[in-house]
This record gives sequence, structure tokens and C-alpha cells, in this order.
Amino acid sequence: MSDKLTALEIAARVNDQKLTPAAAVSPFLDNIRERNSSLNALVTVLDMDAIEVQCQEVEERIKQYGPLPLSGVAVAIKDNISTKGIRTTCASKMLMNFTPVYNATVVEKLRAAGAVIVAKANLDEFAMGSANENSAFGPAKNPWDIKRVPGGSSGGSAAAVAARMCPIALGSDTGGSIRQPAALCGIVGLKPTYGSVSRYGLIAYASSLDQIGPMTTSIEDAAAVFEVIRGYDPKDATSNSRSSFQLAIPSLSTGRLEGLKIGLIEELCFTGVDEEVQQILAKAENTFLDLGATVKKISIPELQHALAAYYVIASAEASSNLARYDGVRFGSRDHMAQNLKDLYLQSRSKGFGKEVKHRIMLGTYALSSGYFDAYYGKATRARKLISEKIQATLTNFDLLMSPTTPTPAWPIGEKIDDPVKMYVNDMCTTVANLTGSPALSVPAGFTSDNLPIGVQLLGKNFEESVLFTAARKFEEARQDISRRSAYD
Amino acid sequence: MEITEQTVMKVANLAQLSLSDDELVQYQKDLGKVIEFFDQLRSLDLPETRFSSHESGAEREDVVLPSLSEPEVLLNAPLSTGSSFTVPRIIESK
Repeated sequence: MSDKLTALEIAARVNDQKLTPAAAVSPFLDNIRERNSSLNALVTVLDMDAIEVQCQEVEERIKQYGPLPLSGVAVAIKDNISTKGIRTTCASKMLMNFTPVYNATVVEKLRAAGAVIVAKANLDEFAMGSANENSAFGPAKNPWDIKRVPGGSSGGSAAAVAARMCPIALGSDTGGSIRQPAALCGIVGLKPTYGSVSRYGLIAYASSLDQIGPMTTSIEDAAAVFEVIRGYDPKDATSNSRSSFQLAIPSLSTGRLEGLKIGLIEELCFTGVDEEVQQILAKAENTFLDLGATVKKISIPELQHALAAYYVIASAEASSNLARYDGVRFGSRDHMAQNLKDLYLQSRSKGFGKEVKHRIMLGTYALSSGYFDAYYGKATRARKLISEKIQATLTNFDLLMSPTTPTPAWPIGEKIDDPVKMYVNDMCTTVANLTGSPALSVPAGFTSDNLPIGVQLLGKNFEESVLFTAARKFEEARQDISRRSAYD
Repeated sequence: MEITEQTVMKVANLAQLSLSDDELVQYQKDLGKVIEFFDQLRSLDLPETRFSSHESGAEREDVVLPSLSEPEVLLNAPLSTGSSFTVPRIIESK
């Protein structure tokens, strides 16, 4: 058994009883022991007893019910997704001792599919960040160069998969938090259509933008995990019943991309994008042309305001969502406080880290009397306009392409002192969150410093299958870079 | 929009945060930078309609289902007494 198998290969062997779940999980646990201390990707690793119990359950369920889609597949869960009885911290001092009393719907679904939860992954505190540097556990590191950031906020999930500490992980994406670290760590990451995956049990950051999604080494794995976690959930009022349409996974391996129309978004591909990233994007464009697709440059000038609109909306929603941390019902509390006002002030001031307080204040400012229309009002109107433009563009194209990030991973600490410089890294990813569109980051190449670069494919709502089909062909055509590991 | 020290203090108070003197200086600088970046939105001529919500989810019957038990609800409380969350005295005694 090796750590090189994909999740689907592992599940097939376990379902055929050629491999026990325990044996399937074991090489990944070895990698955790060997690699996590230098990468700091996982903040809680389950003890062997808890892992063995799950392995036995999977074995019994296969005997009873037959094959399961993710039998014996080790998974790391981003630590802002609730796991019953397993500490869930959001990488914040505020939730350092928080133990959920229920599982997120996605966790229930993974368990039912035969997956084995082995760890909780590091992240930027409350998922606020693009480098995984805002974590109470300290920064996670990039397996391709441990002096560099893995991206964020799902940096721990991305680093764990890239270092084969687990074949798959779950992340959450509010403005690029799955796709950006996936790109910077050389793996696949999907932000599904808003409403297609239940957010029940995801600790909220910005509710109109947040979505849980898979982080994997192959496109087929991403499709398989998405297939497991998606679907209507009455426990999430924004969950969409349309998301129950069937995904055509079998067709992933047949045919070319004849007739597929790809739009290359000029606003996201050139200005502010590193030259090497542009070269890798051009090569990706050629690959798609070779596969029979058409690629046409398009301009959507409104997108230049997407980043500002995103940060206003995300901060505003964060300031409201994080008002619940008051030191009363859960979370850390300052026991020295003498009165209720002081209890709120001190518990929040001591419990939240620097960037979280920054965004709460930004959001409070943007929503405050006298500024509401100028910032939040304008941002929601810009969002409406951008959504309409993207929907209109997608009537002429099957998917829209851009780099996932304008640069490769940067050295830890390089951007931390300048919030705007940090935010600009999200220029290509925030659009999909504003519009609710599905978007997939696919490994597309390496820089001269051997740092991975990803290409983003953005599609029509609830048409993840188109993204998977195109990306699967791309992956097949580019075996020189697909599933490459920093440890090969 | 220039962000003054008073603005930062007002916003911090609204957000139930207390800032040290150093934090005040830092946040005045950081908030200033980001709000300057946000100011690009102010001059935009945009249609009146706002983004309201994504395509809405399905409606469901309003059915009572089992909820969390009392011990589960109180499990993560920093301080509880019997079946209640405990907070500092709100009404001052004379």
C-alpha cells in the first residue's frame, strides 16, 4: 500500500477487500508523523483508538451494505467545520476549548461514504486570510518550500493533501480559500455552486459567500468527494434543492472537448499577474485548444471592482456573524470581568486575533450609520452588476478561465504588514463567491523555482460536471504536471 | 475617507472590542489603508438594485424535531449553574 494512490483507487481496493481500511489509512498516518511537525498543517490528529473505531465501522458497513464511495479514505477536515466530540477551534484562542456536540452535515456524509477522519487542519483564524499566517497555532508551511506560505485560508488542508498526509481534505471558500491554497500547493480545489453543499456545522465567516468543498490530488477524486458531500439539507436554509441533479462522472474519461467554449477573462489574466504565471496560463490555453476547445479573450471591466466589493461584504457579514462570541454560551471568557459590558469587551478582545478584529471593525464601519450606503450599499449593488455580467457572459461560453492566483507562493511574512497587498492576491478568486458560481483550481504548471501554479475554471451555476469534464481532459493531457508531489 | 483615532474608537466600541494604545495606532493605519481601497466603490455609478440573495432554497414544513439536550447546550459554556448560563450581575446592588 502506498501514499501515491488516489482516493478512488484506495476505495476500490478496500471495497474489493484487497485492503483493510486500517491498512489503507496507515501510510498517510506515517506521513503525518514524519511531516506534520515541520509543516504545521494539522492542528489536531485523532488518536489511534478513534481512527481504529472508524476503520472497523467501515469494514462492517462494507460487509453489510456493499461498496462505499470513499471506503478507507483518510480525510482531514478544516478546523472551522464541526466534528462531534473533536475539538473545533477555527485556529482561534476564542474557540481553543470548543467541542461541538454535533457533526457538520458534510462530516456525516463523508463518514457514511466510508471515509475515515484522521485530523483537523490548520487555517487562518475564522478563515480570514490568504496565507495561513493568522492562526493561533502558528503558520502552516508550503510542502514545496517550507519557507513559503501554503496560501489560505484552507492552507492546512492544502499542505496536508500536497504532503500526502491524507489523500483528500475539506476546505471552505469565502473568497478563494479553497482554490488559492490548492493552486499554491499544486493540488485540485473546488468551490462548489453556492447552495449545493450544506453549510450546516460550518462556523460562519460570511454567510452569503461561504461554501465547503473538496481538496484533492486528482479531478476524479474532487468529483467523487463533491458527489458525496453535495445535496439538499433542510438544516441549511440556503441549501438548494436543485443540487440533486446527477453528476456524470463516468463520462469524465471519454471524448475530447470539441465545441467547448472557453472565455479568457482579460481583467484577471494580465494586469498584476506575474509573467511566469501568464506563460503557464498561455500553455494551458494551448492545451485546451489542442483538445478541441475554442478559447476567446473577453473583457468584463466591472470585475475590477470585485475585490473591493468582496472585502466590504465579507467584512460586513463577519462583523455580524462574529457578534455571537460574547463569552457567555461558548468560546473563551475573561473571568476577571466585573460586569456584563466588560465581559463582552474583554472576552472578545483577548479571544480574537489581529486580523479578525481588523475585519470586524472594517465591517462595523461599513455598516455604521452614515457610511452604510457609501460602502455596503455600493458593494451589494456592484455585486448585483458583476453577477449579471458573469451570467450574461456565460450564455456565450461554457466556462471562464483565468489564473487562480497572480503569483506563486510567497515567503512567510512578506505581505503580512500590508492588508491591501495581501488582499490583492485574491483578485481572481473572489468573483465566483460574489456570483455564487462554481470554480475549480487545477494544477497547470511550475515556475522556474519549482513552485506550483493553478488555473481557475469558472462555470455556470450547478454545472460542476462541465468543470470536471474539462479539467479531467486537461489533467490527462498534461501528465507531466498532474499529481506531482513535492516528495517524489 | 480619512480614518481618525476617534473613528477607530467609535467603531471598536460598536464592535464590543477594547483596544490598547498600540492597537489603536496600528488599526488606524490598517483600517485607513483598506477604506481608501474601498473608496473606489463610492464614485461608481451603479444601478439602484442590490444583490439580495442567491436563488432561494426549497421551503419545508415547519415540523418540530428533537433539539439538543440541556447538557449538550451547556457543554461549551464557560460558566453555568444548573440549567442556566452564568453571567456577572447585571443589576447593581446598592
